[in-house]
Amino acid sequence: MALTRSGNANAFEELVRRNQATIFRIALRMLGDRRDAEDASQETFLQAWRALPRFRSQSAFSTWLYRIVTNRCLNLRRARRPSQALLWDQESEEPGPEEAAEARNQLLALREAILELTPEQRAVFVLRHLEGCAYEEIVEILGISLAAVKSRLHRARLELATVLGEWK
Amino acid sequence: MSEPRLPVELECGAVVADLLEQVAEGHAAELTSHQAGCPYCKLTLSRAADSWRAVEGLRTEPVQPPPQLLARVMQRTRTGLEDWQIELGGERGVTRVSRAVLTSLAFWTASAAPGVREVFGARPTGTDVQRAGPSRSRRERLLSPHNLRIELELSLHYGLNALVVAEEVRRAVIDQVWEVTGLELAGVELLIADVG
Repeated sequence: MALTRSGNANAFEELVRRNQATIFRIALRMLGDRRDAEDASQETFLQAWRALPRFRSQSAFSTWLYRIVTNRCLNLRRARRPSQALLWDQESEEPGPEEAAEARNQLLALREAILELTPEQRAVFVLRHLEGCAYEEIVEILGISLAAVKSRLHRARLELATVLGEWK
Repeated sequence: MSEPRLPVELECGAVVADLLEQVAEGHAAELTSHQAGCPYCKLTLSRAADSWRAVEGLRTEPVQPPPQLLARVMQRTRTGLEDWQIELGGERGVTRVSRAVLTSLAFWTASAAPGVREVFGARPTGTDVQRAGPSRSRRERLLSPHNLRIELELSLHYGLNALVVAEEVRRAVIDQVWEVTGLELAGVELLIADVG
């Protein structure tokens, strides 16, 4: 980290290499579109490079990157409505038996439902249930209270369960 | 299309959102004494677990970053780095140092100074050399060796006199830059951003 702070681009390249998969995954799940996610990831790393003097080592570098990418995606999402969930494309669409087809349909329904959440609900859901962040880490990333994190998560889970479950 | 309505409470009085949270947080199998004997809770927990399987599927789905992402980030990073140089002079050819060299020198010298806990960043600044002829591109900017300054952002160990430590840092950086490059800094600007 100190090597990166000293302006060493090779050290920064190693940090990008280590974190690019996670940052891209968060952006993809927040935005639902690979091209937008790539742009957001690229801008996240460039912003991190420029803002390195403002990074404080009390928090993990990855947490700091999560904050930058989440805020970037939130701003993008607030600026426009989700176009269509089908944009959340993946290369790994393997054909399979009937159960696999059902699982794929559930996955598709889930992706659509996630994109229907408010950007704020989506952010906490992605960080908690898809990235496995601790509550305290989400508080730090989003700069909101623990109560707000829990409340948004509560709403998000109810919304998704309504779409995914058989409740009759 | 309207979605099937999710009940707020079960017939037994259990709150459905609490059961969802129990499943989502990975505690579906840890039944309370009430849940162990309650068919409503058991059925709802089972349905919630079924629906939550899709979340698990999404969580474990492999996502590969675009292969060109790293290269694009680094291309833009390195372009920003090489934005100027300083001529040191020389009788049998010109020697130049890049901004990166000065940044690195200032950073590591300040990091090793007594009383400094951590350096957050170093940024050399100066004035462009005015040259006759066609204007130079951004990558070819040349800075004057005069009026060269370095800005440092750092944190100090708690309880030390900030002015004393700052003067030590300033002197160390000025001396080290002079020793390595022969450049005389016009100043070292410090921002003490933290103590700890």
